[in-house]
Amino acid sequence: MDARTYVGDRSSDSSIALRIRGLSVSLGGTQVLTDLSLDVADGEMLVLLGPSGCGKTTLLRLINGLLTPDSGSISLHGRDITRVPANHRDMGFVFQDYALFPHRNVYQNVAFGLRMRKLPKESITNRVNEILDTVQLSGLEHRKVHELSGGQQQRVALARAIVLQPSLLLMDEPLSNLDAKLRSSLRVDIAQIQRELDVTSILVTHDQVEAMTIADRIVLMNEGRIVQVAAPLEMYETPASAFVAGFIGSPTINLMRVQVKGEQAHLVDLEATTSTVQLGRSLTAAMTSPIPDGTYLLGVRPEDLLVHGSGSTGESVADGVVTFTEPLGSETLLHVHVGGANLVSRVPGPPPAHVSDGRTVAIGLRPNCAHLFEHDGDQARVELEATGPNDN
Amino acid sequence: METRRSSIGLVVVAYMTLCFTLLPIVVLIVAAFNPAEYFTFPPDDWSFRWFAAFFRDREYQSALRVSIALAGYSVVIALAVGLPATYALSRYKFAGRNVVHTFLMSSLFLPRVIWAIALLQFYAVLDLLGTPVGLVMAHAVLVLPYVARMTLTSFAYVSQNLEQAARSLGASPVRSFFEVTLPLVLPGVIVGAVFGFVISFTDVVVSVFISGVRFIPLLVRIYVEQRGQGIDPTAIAASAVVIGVIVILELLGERFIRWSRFI
Repeated sequence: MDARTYVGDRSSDSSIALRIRGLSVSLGGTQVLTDLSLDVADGEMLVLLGPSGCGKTTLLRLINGLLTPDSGSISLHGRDITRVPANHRDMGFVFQDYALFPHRNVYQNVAFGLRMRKLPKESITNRVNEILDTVQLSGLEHRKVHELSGGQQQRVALARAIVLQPSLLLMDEPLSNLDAKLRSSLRVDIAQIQRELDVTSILVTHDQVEAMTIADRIVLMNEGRIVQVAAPLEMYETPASAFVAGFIGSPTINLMRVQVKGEQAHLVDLEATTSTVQLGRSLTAAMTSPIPDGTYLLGVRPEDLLVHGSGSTGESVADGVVTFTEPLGSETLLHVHVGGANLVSRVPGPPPAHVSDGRTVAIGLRPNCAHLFEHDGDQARVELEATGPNDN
Repeated sequence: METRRSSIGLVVVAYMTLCFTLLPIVVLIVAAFNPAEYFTFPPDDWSFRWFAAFFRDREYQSALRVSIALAGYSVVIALAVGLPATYALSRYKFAGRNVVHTFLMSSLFLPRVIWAIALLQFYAVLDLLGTPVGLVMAHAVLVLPYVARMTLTSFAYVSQNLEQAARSLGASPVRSFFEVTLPLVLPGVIVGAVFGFVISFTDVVVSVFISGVRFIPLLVRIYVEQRGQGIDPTAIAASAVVIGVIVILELLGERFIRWSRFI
């Protein structure tokens, strides 16, 4: 069975937990989501990622039923829930500001949903205690929520949602109100709890590091549309457009405008004002196949941008001047001015001996690592036809 | 601790204002204990004579009952109208939102005498003059802005996310209102209700125009009594009772819901 039939099978069988088709919504006269379709597999941790205002939180609220779409459908395990009110959807929702009930203690907050389902008191107690144990909050049952730290409050919010054993767990920027240190530890906790309970989850974030570390798949959104759906590394390695390439990865990918004509390539500065720098043979050599003539956006990850001392023997594409050095200990970021463009190179360890601010250096590209995007329109990835092993 | 001269000046002004406001009331309360038939200050003797007279007087007692019932009913009506209206105002954007808001607050800005004159003519047409229904309706309108003001600010402090969280946990909209929203706005609702009660209880201007002869609120009775027969010691005792009850309410409210934070 090859990959394509597998995808086809998946979309028709029961392993799809949530199916969204043609979802559009406008709020206050602004089109927020446009014809959006998405499948979420059973047990999957899906992350909705995108800049603020891209519609990811709106999508989450549509899934939860706090908003109703203008058109399109949402179904959960084959049941159409597009018009089902939020309180009948069997989903857990974790809010960015926790939304804990301030007039109730930890126990009462977690028990709220079970009480709404009219469970007997004894089984409510058992399940609340069990889940408080899972989120490591045992012993704090009778605390007022405002007496808890931010991290503890977020755990209560998580416990309150998962104690109902929902078919779907939705989390809206659950970590963004926490400080950096707490965020990274709670991130791991959330991932572990999600795996332990095997609950299908959708998490919204604008933090690409969070998305990369926690997600089975990332849905990258921009301006109300899905730009790419892929596993984290796949998205990093084969971004579908210049936008994706720019959003995923830190420091940001270097994007340059290049003009290709035959074997020649010119670097055009992004504002296309003055200087052009002729790029050496190695750009075209860095690609697996010849590039058709035209203007492109060239994307090079900082770790794929090589910096040689001038006059070195390495394959270089152009000369540049080092403008700034950021030694970070385990790695060093070098800012290099090439033509009209400011590029960033990441090299492991301390700054190399041949590099210092103001020095002229030769820059090169790691073979087969450059990304090429269309210059116009959607700036989509240009897939070059594979021509087999490069034998030049 | 060193206090700057300018702030000493401010403190003096504050205390003078307080004295200016409270002294007449102190005089009135002291006078209420004066057993004499006429007004002397300071009194030569102390007695509960006029208080007893007030609590024995059937007309004053019926006026007191009218006032309490009137204030109670009008607060209940104002809450029944004001709570849903202010909830909608705080949660939804809809056409005419500002109109509703202005309407809720309007009687706060209307000169009461003018409104009362209009009401007098309006009620004459509807044949509501001197009726309990007419009085309650008028007072409900008087009370509404005070209740609405308190509930509106209270609703604004309850995050919509809390209600949505309750919804996502399986509570119906009505259930989430009673389980989450109402407990959180309750202090504000109580403060609004007490305010409304006092506003209704102390109103003379509107009531004196429309109350007729059978249902006369206490303060109208006191007012009319003063105009007719001059200073009546029973009326002074009645006033002292009213002030006493209001002060006790104020202290209780401050003790239990710290309502100075709402003002």
